Amino acid sequence: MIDQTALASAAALLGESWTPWLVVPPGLLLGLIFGAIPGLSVPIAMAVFLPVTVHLDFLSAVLFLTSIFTGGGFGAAIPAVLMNVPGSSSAVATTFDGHPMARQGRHSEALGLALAASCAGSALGYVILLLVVGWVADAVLLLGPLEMFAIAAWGLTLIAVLHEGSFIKALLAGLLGVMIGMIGMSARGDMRGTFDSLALVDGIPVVPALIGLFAASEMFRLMRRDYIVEDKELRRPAFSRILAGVGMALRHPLVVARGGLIGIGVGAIPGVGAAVANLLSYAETKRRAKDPSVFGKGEPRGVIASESANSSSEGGSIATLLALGIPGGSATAVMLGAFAMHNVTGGPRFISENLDLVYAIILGNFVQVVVLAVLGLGFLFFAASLVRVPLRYLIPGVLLLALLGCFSITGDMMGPITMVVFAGLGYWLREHGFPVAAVVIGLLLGPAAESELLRSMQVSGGDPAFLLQRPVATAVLLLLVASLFYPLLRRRRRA
Amino acid sequence: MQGQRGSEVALLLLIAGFAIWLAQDAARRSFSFENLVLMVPVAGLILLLCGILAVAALRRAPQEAGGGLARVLGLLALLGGLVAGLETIGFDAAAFLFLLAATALLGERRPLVLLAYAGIMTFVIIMTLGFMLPYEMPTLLLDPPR
Repeated sequence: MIDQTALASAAALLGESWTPWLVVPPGLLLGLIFGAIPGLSVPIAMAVFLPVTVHLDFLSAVLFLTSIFTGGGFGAAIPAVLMNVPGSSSAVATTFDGHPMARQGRHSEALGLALAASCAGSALGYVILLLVVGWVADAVLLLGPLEMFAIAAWGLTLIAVLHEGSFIKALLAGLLGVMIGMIGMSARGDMRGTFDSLALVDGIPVVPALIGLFAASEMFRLMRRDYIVEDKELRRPAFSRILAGVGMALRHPLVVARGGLIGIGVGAIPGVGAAVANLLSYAETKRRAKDPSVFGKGEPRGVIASESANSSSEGGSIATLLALGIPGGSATAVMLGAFAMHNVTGGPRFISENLDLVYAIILGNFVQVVVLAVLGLGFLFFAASLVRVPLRYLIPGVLLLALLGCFSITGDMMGPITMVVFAGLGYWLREHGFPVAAVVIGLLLGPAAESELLRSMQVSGGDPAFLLQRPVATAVLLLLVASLFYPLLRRRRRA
Repeated sequence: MQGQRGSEVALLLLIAGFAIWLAQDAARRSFSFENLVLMVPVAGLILLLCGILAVAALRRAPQEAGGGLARVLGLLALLGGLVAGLETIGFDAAAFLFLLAATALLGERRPLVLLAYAGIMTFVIIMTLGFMLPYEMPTLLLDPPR
């Protein structure tokens, strides 16, 4: 499974000089900061600092960029927990239980939980990656449009799992998200709902919409309070409580392992990644729980499930980049730029000819996770102090940062306008008990489901027997059905 | 019909109206199966669900809307003003005015604190973003390093 010679060579490559490691702490810190500010995403941080890597050797350059990636993967959890504002789409599920914990004054524990789950999930992801990196190319090439459709459909069933209250309202919110996601040019090339405006050809920008739905609408709700945590005593950040959160995460190894596996599997699929992995992992953990009703009310397993999956998906996306030379998302696309700047092309040949370098990158990422665990603890202590800032200052500052973050994503006024429109919509929906998370799931997965369904129909000529020739798709669809019916069966057995 | 109930029905009407408009716009562009395979069933389901929820809302006893709506609408209007001002009066001026007005709306009354908070935040955010982002950000007074 592991080429021992290449592994020894990788260890020697990393150990022969300490200089490649110098870039890791600043990279992690940059990632933490950029990840923690809604809108200022990790790809932006990587793009801003990409030119710096020209002066570094290839290994140092990749270590620097992956450090930003690793730090940012966790950084997005900080606003998700403290303000119910996911720093990126990868931390949406972290808000479900992380923020209720914060409102109960357990923000330090929640942040500790998120950090430990994130590090443990990433570490597990990299161990698995070390074992299977040689096969990733073959595995990813097995995925056609039907498999992608099955995965998107699985993701859409999350709406049924994530609702708290009225199922009809959750379903309507999810369908509204799917409908909004269909604005723009269809897979067939038809313009829908664009008013013939070029700004809408690519559809509604997802991240500004997400920030509006979550961040801004949450800020409107927080206006009724003076502080995020009302109890003055509970506001004080406590290192011991962050460590207690770390301990809590380590007491749920199965949740971490499940999240890690889902993350690396989903992360390896180009175009899917962390945005879906955290939701899938959360939903599966809730489905399997003996007491699913406690989720959404400050359940630590919810935070662990989300954070372990979004962090390990990073390993999956790096695997695809190395094995196929295909970026799974915008962060790995920037990394591909760094590859090109050093005249390196990812792909099966790169892996077979430079296995020692590939192992060195994976081992380097593993070490980054350990450094993140230490650096993150210190960072969290300061981040947890955010709950001591009066909301009359925090809300305008966060709104301004989020709005300018949306500008930085689209590069024009489309981002800020989208954020404001969705802020109003999100507040209105929440006031009447419609879960905005369902809108986001529909928005993220609806268009993917539609285009993959269309491609599947084109490839198969509309013949349902085509499904029988696609064992992976069949397996995913069976898993989907099983995961939908499993809670019902268990409830009946218990009754 | 008043308060919460009226607001919920209005929201459902907006969602239903959006679904009808988008489906008919898509159908107008192309009536092909591929173009409408997901659009029409989703729009149909949305209308059905909106109908069910609207009937349920109308049958419920009327409730008064929760407090604080005026402040929410005020903040939303300030956000709209910020968006309108970014490229017209400049990113720095729009950000400063937004912070000043929003912090005052949320209850801060001390003029010096208001000015200091809005000024420092504007300076830090605009200078940092102006340095980092490759896009043009017109400003009135500040000149971010490039």
